[in-house]
Amino acid sequence: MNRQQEKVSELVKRRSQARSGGGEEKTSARRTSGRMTARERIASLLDEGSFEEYDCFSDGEVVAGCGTIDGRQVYVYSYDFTVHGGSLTLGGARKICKVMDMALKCGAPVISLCESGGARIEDGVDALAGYGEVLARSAGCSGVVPQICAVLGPCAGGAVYAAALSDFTVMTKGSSQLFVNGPSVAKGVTGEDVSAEELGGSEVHASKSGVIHHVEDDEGKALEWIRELVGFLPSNNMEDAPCGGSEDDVCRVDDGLNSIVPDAPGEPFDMDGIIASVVDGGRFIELQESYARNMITGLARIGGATVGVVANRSEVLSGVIDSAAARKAARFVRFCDAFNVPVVTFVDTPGFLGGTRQECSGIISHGAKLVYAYAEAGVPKITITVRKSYGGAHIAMGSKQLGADVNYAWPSAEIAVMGPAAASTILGEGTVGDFDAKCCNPYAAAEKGYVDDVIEPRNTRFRIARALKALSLKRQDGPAKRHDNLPL
Amino acid sequence: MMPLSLIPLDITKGAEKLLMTDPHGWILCLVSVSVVFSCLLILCGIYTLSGAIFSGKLKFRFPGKSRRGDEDAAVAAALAGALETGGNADDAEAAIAAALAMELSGAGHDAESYVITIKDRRPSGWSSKNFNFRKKPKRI
Repeated sequence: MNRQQEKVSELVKRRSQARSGGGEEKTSARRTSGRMTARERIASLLDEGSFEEYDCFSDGEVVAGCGTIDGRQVYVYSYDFTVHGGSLTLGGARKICKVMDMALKCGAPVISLCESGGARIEDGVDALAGYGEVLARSAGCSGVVPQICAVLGPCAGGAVYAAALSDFTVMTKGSSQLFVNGPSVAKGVTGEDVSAEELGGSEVHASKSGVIHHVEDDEGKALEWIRELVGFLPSNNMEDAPCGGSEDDVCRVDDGLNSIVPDAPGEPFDMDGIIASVVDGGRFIELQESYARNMITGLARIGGATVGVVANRSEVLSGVIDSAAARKAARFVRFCDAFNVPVVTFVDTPGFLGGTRQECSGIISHGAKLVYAYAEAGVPKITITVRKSYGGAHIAMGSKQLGADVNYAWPSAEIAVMGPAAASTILGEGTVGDFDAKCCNPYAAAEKGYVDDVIEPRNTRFRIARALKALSLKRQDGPAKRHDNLPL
Repeated sequence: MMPLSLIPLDITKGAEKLLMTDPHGWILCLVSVSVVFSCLLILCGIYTLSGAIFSGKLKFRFPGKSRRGDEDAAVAAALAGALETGGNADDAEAAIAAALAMELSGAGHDAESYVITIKDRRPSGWSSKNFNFRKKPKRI
């Protein structure tokens, strides 16, 4: 064997050692417990044979590189829990920064697969500096390229902020946790004795804190969800989302929509059914489905084009908008605006939720966020008032005055300052009938141009599809500013 | 130049004969130039050949020694033979070990997927060449 062949052999040997992670024993233990290794996760996420790893000969707690999902380039990094619990060093952080820089140069999404104990204590301040660099990059990427995070195991310390700064975060049920400090520190500081799952499990973040957007049963399904989600998103803020060729005819009518709204004004109905009827193939990826369930947010396609859907769910709190719902919808609308995704809004809300609890939680600020998000958004905005649209909530939910491009109303729409019952307490008994006839219908708003047309419910899909086509070249400018100051 | 038939018979010296046949030296010149160029060509060939040999592009095959491909065939044959006979376990193990040693000592290759999955992207604002322009200095 000549010298060159020996060098190739050495390369093969070194690469094999680098890819062994924390060693055969730890890798086997992971597989036994039903978890994938870092490289297995990446292989499961990306198209087969597409992954190119960078810096595999440097610090091993992070595996980073680029690959494709359905032929579209993405940059991905995954923490390797077999190497010192995935705790991050400066070298590992720089590996992450390298792929994020390349994602920014190439305009491709960044996907992080997180399972990390935080900063490596032995690395000292260097580890903190590394995290700082990663988070700064994440802030730089925000609104430029989509960032998706999968929390696939315990995640603590600095690693949690990467999840919070991402556009979408998914966790696995029962096997992943996300907390700033673990249960032992929590016990020492606050005295509470809780398990890791109670402190930062998927249930906590999906339904109470609202930090994450989706929960799956296992890693495989979480990675599959990310693959599907990427298909709805553009690669960067200068591109459109890929057009998903759909066999669902845009002219399809659904007679069931004509009778979906019940006669009784307070009776809830299935808003999810309306959305499923309108979108292509009924496929709707709901985001944060367990958090603020009175507000629906998610991605779908209409006529093959990706749209963001915002809707009030009357089955929960009668569709009223509280602090959590306002914040959820506002962040989603801002994401759609950042990435050129049109927003379609279905309105059925009696207004903002009052009371001391809501006032103390800042309903005013959070409601203002929703107003700001809609007003600021320059993407095509289409609003369909299905039933109730009262007061400030009417303004906040994509009204004409906040810049909605096309406003439709169903014949069942009620657009007013307040409902008849509430109005009678102010205007006096006996005025309900007049108020109902005068205000609680869409024609008063249509006559003034606040609604562009009253449409038959069964034609909703067609009208939205046509409006999206008409608005496809929409261009909207605003005054130059360094950045906004919305009430955070 | 004097024809050969007119050269006097008593001239014995070759130089004198040459002077008679080629007084201007054309033949001599032609011959000498031919010799020089021939030598240069031969030297060129020698250097090319030795370069090819030392760089490994040209290998001598000694009779009785097999090529790399023949080694692979020998490995496969040894493995097949060892597995088939199975009679003498020691012989089989030795054959397998020898076959594997021959294969592995030849050094494996760095694994690659050999597939490019990246689809062509439609032109978009992101890749606009405007962004590659250098900014011109502004007057202060």
